[in-house]
Amino acid sequence: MNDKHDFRAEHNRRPDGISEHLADRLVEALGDAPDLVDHTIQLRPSGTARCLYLKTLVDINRIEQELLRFFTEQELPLPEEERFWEQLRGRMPAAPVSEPADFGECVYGLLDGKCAIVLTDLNRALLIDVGLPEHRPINEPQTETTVKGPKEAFTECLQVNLSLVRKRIKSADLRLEELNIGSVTRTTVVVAYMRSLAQPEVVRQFHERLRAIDTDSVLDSAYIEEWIREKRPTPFPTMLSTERPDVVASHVLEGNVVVFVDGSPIVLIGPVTFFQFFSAPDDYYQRPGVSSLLRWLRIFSFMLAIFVPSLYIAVVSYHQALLPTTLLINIASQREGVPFPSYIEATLMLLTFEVLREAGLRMPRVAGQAISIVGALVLGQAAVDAGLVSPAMVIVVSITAIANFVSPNYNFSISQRLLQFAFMALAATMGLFGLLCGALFTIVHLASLKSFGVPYLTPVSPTVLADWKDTLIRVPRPWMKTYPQLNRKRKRIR
Amino acid sequence: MSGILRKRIVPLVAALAVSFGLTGCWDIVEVNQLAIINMIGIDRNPDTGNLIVYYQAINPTGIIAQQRSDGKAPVYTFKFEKSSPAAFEEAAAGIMPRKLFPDHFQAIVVSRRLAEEGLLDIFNYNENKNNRRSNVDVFITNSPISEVMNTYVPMEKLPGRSIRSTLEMQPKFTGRASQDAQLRDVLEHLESPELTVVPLIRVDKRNTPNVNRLEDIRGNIGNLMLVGGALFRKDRMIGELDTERVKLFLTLKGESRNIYKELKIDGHNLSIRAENIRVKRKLTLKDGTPNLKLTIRSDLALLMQNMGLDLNVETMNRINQKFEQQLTDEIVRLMEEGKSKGWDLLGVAGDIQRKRGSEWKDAKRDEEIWRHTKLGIEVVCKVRTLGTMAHPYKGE
Repeated sequence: MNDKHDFRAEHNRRPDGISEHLADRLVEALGDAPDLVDHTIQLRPSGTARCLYLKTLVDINRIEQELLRFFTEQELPLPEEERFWEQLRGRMPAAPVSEPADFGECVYGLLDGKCAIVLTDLNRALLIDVGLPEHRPINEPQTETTVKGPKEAFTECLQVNLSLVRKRIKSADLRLEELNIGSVTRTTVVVAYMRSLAQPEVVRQFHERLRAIDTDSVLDSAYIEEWIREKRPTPFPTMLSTERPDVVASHVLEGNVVVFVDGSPIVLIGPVTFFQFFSAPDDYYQRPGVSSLLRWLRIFSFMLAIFVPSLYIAVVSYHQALLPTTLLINIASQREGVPFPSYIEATLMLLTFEVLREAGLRMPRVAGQAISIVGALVLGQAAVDAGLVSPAMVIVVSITAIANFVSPNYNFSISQRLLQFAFMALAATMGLFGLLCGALFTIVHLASLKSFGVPYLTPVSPTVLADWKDTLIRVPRPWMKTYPQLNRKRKRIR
Repeated sequence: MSGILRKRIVPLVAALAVSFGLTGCWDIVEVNQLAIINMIGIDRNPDTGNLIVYYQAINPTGIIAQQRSDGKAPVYTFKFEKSSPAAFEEAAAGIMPRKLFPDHFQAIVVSRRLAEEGLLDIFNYNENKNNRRSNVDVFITNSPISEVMNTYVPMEKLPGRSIRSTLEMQPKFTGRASQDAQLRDVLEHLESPELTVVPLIRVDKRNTPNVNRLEDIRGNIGNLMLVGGALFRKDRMIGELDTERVKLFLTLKGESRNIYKELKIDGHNLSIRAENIRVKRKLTLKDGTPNLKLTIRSDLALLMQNMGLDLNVETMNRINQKFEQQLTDEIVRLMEEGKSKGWDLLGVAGDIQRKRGSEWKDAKRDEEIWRHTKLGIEVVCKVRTLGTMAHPYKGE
């Protein structure tokens, strides 16, 4: 699809859909937009043309210095002649030229940052891509920071994002396929994968699901994710999203498929498995022992986040006999005078924490300090002194809150928090029995979940021992001689 | 929609409906709604024949208050008198503002008179409960039980934990009590002829059932102390052993690995600790009479000596011989005393019952045959630890 603008293939095509007064119709179609520029240029040896473009989307310097000079300063052959195209290509080699098939394509071309040259005498139009969309520079990642490793993050510009991946994978095997989604926004979406590594079935599924999207607008990759993710209701993410080019490159090199969306700094990756949410980019930039240890720490934190508040509620409300006597007396003394049951106490505290977190995310940075001060009061000693919560609960909520932030993936940490509240409700109604039911239900649900046809618990269930070398532990790179069998790659040896 | 209803929502609602039949919210009880029991005291009223039970409930804020030097009571004792052990929980509900929670009690104290009557009913009641606990320490008290239960103890604050901790230290340091003195150990021997020793305690009579006692610097006053062992056969107490005899009894049973002894050689005193004691028993039948050969091996540590002699090989040998002789004599004396009182302290009857082979058939039938057991004792010991001074100061 990236050879869509091969003018050789298109220049001989007759523009049947183009009717008379094309330029005027274009101006009218765009509603006399204030950023629409409409020049009339004198061609040599004779004739006129109209040059139309939206000045907010194009590189005006290129239009003035290259395009207008080309059309005004030299004698032009007719577009039917091969010389016309050769000259145009020689003058502007980096600007793809096409001839629109109909009026609609012409309008879309203008909206996509192209310059339309309407040859009024011939009633023909040419679209020349001189687009220069505004975008911010490449910055450090905001949500996936690392101590070691690259410090680049994707931006909102698709071309920049593709270049960040291209410069990491200098292989002809890398396939980029473009399509436009959204009847109004016509957002460019690019699917990337390694032809020799990606499972054709997975690529097919991506294509099918992307083509099936029927919407007016796509403003971010999250829109796409909602359309193409697994339909089964689940709190767990079935696609990985990242803002790091190195993460995208590593997944592409393992045979996964990625989706870039123009205007979004977040790239979608699939298929993904449960255990991949415990690995962070840092894992591959540190020594393997340290990485394995950190991975275990993340799994432990996941367990803490889900089970600490629920276990506390279950034990304190139903199974007091399980606590050592000293601890029981301690908790009992702390709870003297606390007006709420443990479940309400924990839910209130965690909800307050979530509210604070949300406020911290949305409010201006200058007001951040105020939130910290109030937060420390609401969740801290002041709440204990007011007799509303017990000190043990403050510790429980703090451990949970910290553990929630350990997850390297933001989407996964949200799932974790949803589960946390569900487990708390189970613990409050059925004690440890409820917790056990919840845990079993979660495991069964995880085992039945798939991401683009790949079982979510791979490589633990189904067991693929060869893939364990980068699951719960991370073995040294020289030992990783084969590709993950995750989605049954065609190529096995690295 | 109807498909989704059938496949998803109906099973979910059904599962929720069924779950209402499970242990649920109505069983919820917060920890601050519990009367956590720390120690239970049991006695029988000699006039009415009713059981008297004391529940010592923990006052959690009292424990914390103690840490803040705020003189609040760490425990409160509630007394109930009923004819059946099963009636006490109901009785407790009538006066205690919190739910009786006996799952964490650490000690049961039984009055001597009740122990001598037998505790079968109480054991059976306890075993019948689904939240029974058998790893709780059992104590017999020589003092009136009301005094034991109405005593505040220093340092540990909770009397139950205090005597439990005291007991837990004994096997390691003094050998005065076994770590197998819990309810389960008594229950284990409930249907065998073996004897069990249960710690015997008493309370200093100068106790004051007032929390002001905790402000008093004199730690001995009103404290609970170990004074020996109550000898149990099956469910009842049959006698009392002083601490020295308890040490010896537990050593022979292999439940105590360290004992402290004082020896006298040529009029000089020595303090010895026998460590790593291993007892080997061999019971044989010769001409219809059981022969029990006890081989006791131990390492000796010399703790103190004022012999004024150098610690050479000859002195070591004399210490070894003296210890061997003294231990042998003490064991023989204990056995003779046991025989005269009808106590099979060496557990020979139990050993005979466990023997296999036709030659033991007659012996098994004779319940009194243990009295005729011939005892052979061999003590082998060696001084291993001397301390740092081979030549003590003489002050000359």
